[in-house]
Amino acid sequence: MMLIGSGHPSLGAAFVMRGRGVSQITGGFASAQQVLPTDPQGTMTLTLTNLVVGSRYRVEDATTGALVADGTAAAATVPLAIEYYLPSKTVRIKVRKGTAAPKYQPFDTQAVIGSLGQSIFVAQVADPIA
Amino acid sequence: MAIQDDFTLNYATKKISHTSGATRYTVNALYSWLMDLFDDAGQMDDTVPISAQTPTEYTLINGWEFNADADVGYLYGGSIVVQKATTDRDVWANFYTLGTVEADVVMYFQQNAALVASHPGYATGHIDQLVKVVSAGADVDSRNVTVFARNNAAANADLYDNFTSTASATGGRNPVPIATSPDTNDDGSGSAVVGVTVNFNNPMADVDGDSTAESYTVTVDGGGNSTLQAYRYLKYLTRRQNTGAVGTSNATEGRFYRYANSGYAEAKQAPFGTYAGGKFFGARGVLLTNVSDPNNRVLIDNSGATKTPPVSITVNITGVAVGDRVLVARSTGSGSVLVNKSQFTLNGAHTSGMSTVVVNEAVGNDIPSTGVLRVSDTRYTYTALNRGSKTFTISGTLGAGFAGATPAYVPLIDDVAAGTSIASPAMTFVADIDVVYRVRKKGILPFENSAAVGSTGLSASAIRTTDTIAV
Repeated sequence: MMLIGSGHPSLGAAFVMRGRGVSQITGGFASAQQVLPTDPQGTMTLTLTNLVVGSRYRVEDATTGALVADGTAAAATVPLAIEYYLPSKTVRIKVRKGTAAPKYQPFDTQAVIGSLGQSIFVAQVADPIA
Repeated sequence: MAIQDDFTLNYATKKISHTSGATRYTVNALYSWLMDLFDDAGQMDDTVPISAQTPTEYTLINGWEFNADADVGYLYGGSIVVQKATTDRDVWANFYTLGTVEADVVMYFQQNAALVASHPGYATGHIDQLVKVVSAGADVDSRNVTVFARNNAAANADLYDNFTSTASATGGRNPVPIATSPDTNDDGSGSAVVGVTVNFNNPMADVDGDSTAESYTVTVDGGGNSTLQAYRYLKYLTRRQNTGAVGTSNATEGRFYRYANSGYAEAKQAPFGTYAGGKFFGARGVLLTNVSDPNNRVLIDNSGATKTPPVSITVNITGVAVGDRVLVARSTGSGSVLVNKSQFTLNGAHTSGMSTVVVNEAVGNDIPSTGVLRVSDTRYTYTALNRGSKTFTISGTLGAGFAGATPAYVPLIDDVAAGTSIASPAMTFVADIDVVYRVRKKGILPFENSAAVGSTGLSASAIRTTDTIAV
């Protein structure tokens, strides 16, 4: 049998299937691993490319502003292992470099992350004014 | 101190405040500091507060704004747009003066007929500050800001200047050219001049004596003072410190007064009129009256026409004695000692008993309004003159008849001396007059000489040489 979005009576909450496929009934007992919607479904790789080395980046939940990942770029490409959720989640990606020369204008973009890996091209613009 | 020591950010309310220090910073310094600060790990979760459009034009964004207008006083060198909402925004334009000015000059801003406070710490010299030209989305005074420089102190009065600059919709950095220098005609004593009044009463006056009154906007009654004293008073009236009304029927503060009408050209160095070469050159629409030296006026009426008062001159013969017969009359030419007796000709026959004499020739302004008229050598005095009809009204009547075209002339002096000098009636200078002057009396040798009467009149001395032969 397939369990699709069935609830667990004792928890009183909706569950979703982790993964896809047919649940196997063994010995008259059906088992499936179920998780809450707020639980991550797994890990995907969000890759920031074309970063200026030394830039500070922050990936945050676009809705809540909660931190997802941050750091300082040590190379032009920064792979980030990020937990993904179902349904998909929108994240905001900020990249700034305003302290040490050369300085760049703040860069902001958004991405919708799911189970598949994503590459985000960061197009930083030099800031000759600061 | 660095800018981060003097400015404070409130991340919750998104307000930028100046909280300490007296140092002023460029807007670029503010921007650079904020760009530096907001790439820190602790600020990556906050929105960036500012963006740069050019090195001198910036915008506070993402809801950030200044806590108070006074905070902006500590910034210079660039403009800032505070974008509070789509249409709700303030624009702080940057104005800075440049040019050759006196070291002690004090600049001040005027917007919407009111003073804009100078930035903290400003005392003298050139100024560079931000002025709000758009408030809550609405232009303030059409984004115009006027900078004035009007120093007027005892023994230290300058030629004034002002300039109006219009900021762009994005503010911008706007140069304001200002030039001041010592005023060699103003010793700063204008405060001591009494009796001068200013009234914006749209007067009419015939300044140039052409029998047609011109229209003016403001009457400056000199109160009997000289034009120079009036000039000094008018500059004192428009000095930087005068917050009072500039005159009757005009509430403009003296320090902001610029012209009688906004459509007239400004006399920036002295708003009511300048002074040069011993003459007062009135600004357009300014009627200066009741001064002790009215000839030292050059005025401009409302229409823009220059009006110069007629120059009143007299001829004075000195070195005479009581009883001397003196004649000063037009000669037949330069250097001539012959009297031009044909200055006029009678218009038609004149019969005995007539009280008027009409001539054919034009009677110019250099013919006195009263004086002596010689008709074929017969002396009459006239008490009135109608230049239009070329008619002399004589005292009494003609004692004889004269044919038409009989020659006649008006001597400048034709009288007996009552003292050691004798003067002509006042007349208007039109052009140089070649004259012959004679002094005669039994007992002295007849004296005559030629001269030219110029724009300053004539003063000549007779030489009385005793006639030892006549008995």
